[in-house]
Amino acid sequence: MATINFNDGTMPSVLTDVSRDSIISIFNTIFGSEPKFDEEDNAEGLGEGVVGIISFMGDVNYIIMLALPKNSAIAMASKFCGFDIDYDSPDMGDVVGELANVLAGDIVARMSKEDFKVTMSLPTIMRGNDVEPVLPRGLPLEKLHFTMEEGNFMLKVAGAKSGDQIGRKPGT
Amino acid sequence: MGYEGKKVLVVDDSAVMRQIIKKNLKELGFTDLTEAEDGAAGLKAAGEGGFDLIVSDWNMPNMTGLEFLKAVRADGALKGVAFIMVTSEADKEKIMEAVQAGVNQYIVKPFNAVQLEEKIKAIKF
Repeated sequence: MATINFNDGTMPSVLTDVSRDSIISIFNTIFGSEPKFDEEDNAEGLGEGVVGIISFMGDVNYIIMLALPKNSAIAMASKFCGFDIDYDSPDMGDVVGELANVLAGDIVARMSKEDFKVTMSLPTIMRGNDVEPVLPRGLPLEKLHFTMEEGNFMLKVAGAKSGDQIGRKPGT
Repeated sequence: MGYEGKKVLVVDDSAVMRQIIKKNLKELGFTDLTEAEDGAAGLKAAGEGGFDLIVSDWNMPNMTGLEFLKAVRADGALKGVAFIMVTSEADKEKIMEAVQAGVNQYIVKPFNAVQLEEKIKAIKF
């Protein structure tokens, strides 16, 4: 069994590789087209949008943040549900939470294949302009940018210390 | 296969997911659908209802899908109700845990009406 503790402050490639592959696979399944991974980390922020956050705990503790700009969120929600969702409604938070949840489930399975046992939290949702949680200092953060028909989006992968958790534990 | 008249309880803490599952069930011909927002509410609804099938999420606050399943199987009046667990995790240990608790079928998100029907047909309720 492998473990990661972020002592050197760098992001292990297994976390970004697994996250990128999960995004491509899951979004292709849900939306019927493969998102294109943008190698360049453009400095553009989220702007107005919704963020779904999930923590992973176990052999490695880390967090993913699925950040959808407003227009992408509206288009993806409509495709995911098969009906339109009002951006300002609580249902929009539900949809982004569910997208993050499905993505995280796939990440757990892929991490297991890489010999890392992790469990996932329930999603936490934030909505607003350039919103993001305050993360502990000294831990690595990587931004993965994607484009697809429904719009651009970003996945942030951040290291966490043992005990740090942003998403809720199941059953709490 | 005609599902009209079959009574289904949909349990998920996400209102949108309940809508999506109900939409899939309606596409398959189910008409009598009830929903609950977590395992605790699901158990209460199940006790009131004469359901043929329960479709429940696993990861929920208050009472998880697994706790809900165990409570259903421990209840003399409910233990025969068909139960499909919906989850975002395809972990073998979790599947085994659900099977040992008495789940009939297990479906991993994302799924569509066709995939859900395959699971329902496999139950033969």
